[in-house]
Amino acid sequence: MSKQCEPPKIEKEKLLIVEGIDEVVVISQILKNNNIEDIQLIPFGGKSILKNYMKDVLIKDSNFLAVKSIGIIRDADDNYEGAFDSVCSALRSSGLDVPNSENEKTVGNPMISIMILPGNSKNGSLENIFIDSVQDDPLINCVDQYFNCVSEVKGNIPKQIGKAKVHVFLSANINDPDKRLGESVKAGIWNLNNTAFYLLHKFINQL
Amino acid sequence: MLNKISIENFRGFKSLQIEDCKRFNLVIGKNNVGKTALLESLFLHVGSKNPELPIKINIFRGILKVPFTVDSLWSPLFNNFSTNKVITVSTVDDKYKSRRLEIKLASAETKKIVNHTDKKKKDSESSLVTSTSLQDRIELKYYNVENDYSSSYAIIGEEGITFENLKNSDLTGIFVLSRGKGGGMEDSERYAKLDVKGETYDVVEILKKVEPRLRRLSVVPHGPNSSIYGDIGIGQSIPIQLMGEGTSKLLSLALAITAVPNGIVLIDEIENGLHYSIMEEVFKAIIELANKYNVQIFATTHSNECLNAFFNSFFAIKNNDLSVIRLDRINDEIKSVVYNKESLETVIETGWEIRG
Repeated sequence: MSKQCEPPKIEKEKLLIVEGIDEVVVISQILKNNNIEDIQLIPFGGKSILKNYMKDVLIKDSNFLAVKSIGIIRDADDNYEGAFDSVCSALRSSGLDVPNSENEKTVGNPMISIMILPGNSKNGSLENIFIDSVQDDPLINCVDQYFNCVSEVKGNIPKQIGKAKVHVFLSANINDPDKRLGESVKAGIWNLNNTAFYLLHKFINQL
Repeated sequence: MLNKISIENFRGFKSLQIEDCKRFNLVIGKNNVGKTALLESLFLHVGSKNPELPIKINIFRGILKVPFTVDSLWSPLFNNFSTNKVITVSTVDDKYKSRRLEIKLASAETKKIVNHTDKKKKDSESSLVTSTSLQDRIELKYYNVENDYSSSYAIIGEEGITFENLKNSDLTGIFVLSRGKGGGMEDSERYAKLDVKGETYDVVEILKKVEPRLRRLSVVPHGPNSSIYGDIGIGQSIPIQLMGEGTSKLLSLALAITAVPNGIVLIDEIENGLHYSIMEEVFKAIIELANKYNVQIFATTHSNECLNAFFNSFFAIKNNDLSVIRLDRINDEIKSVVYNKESLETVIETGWEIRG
């Protein structure tokens, strides 16, 4: 257990369960920008342990019965269907209600909703949204050209193209070329109010 | 070994169920959720044919001088002091055998002859009269694994409390108090019995975890009493209490385990007297001893260091036979949450708070 700070526990009635630290930073910023204070962000630390996190930790927390709403956000990666099913399986193993689709919210207590990033049933990840948000930035042409070149040279491009493009996009930062996504969000490099973030905003607001 | 526990109408528990108990069960939770009461209920259950125990658990709480009345003695046992209800403590063991203890104020009439000789009373009252008291006795009705039952009673009388039908139960258990200093008469007797059987080695070895200089222990009589002394190589043996609270507390724990083979040891605030730096070693030793004597342990703690030591010791020796039972107060009722080995691994991995 962490000895540096208080161990985490459920403290709010709305929980937003996300994959990792980058998601925490991004969504924290969105919450802050929108003055939303009644949502607790919980990073579960990796897709493989979501199921255990739900059944062994969250539903056993002494404050769990006070929770009114739970949202779960994870990346689709290269298998949207599989990602959605995996979250549903974690919910079932914890005895929680399961929504039929991304656009549904269960009516029980707690209410459950799922968002698979980047949204709209597409494969990809949180980073795809960021790349969509900079389509008007002249720099995106450089990024696209780079991967066109990669494709010609290597015969293919990275499967997780959104993540790869974000790295390349951030590497063009003159003063600090090795920022990670979370750090770049903190530094204000991205416009989180861009319409590319609409679905994410909507999901958070409906929690 | 008990696997499931169900308690109704006892102390703060209206209805409490605990499942998946293991060899070693650590009970946690905020103040006033009934951690000690859980141990008390199990103590009554393992001594179901001993009607002294409802009195003893009050004494354990430090309630030493109370009037011999229903309100003082029996009512506090019942949830919300509702003496019209029946307390039940039911268990299912790992062989799926069920046992049940029911405690109630006896409905049978107790008739006694009272000779009023007070001349100031009216004539009609001076004669021999029969008075009837319905609720001055408490009945412990125990259903064994064959579902046969027997009843024993504790009865409040004018001369004190008497006990009827006191028998040995088919379960055995010991309650180790949180404030117990260890090394007293009970420990002396337990050590002497071990000594006769030549089985003191384990106890001495476990004490070396906290007092490496210890060579041997001996029971020293003084008058009608006796104490345990330890030889730590300083010329003469000294009372175990002088070797520190941790040593005497650990001695009590070890002797309790060895005294009830195949039984249950209930330990209130196991961390008391033990420095955090030795807890892991102490737990390892206790686990080993409990396995050897086939003893099941239920222990309460408030300490995070104790909880961490508990995890570390089990994972270090690759023993899966543990559970953490947390009691939570939810809408004026106490409910349990049980963590097994698998869920504790996730707790440790995520660093999540489980103390409530």
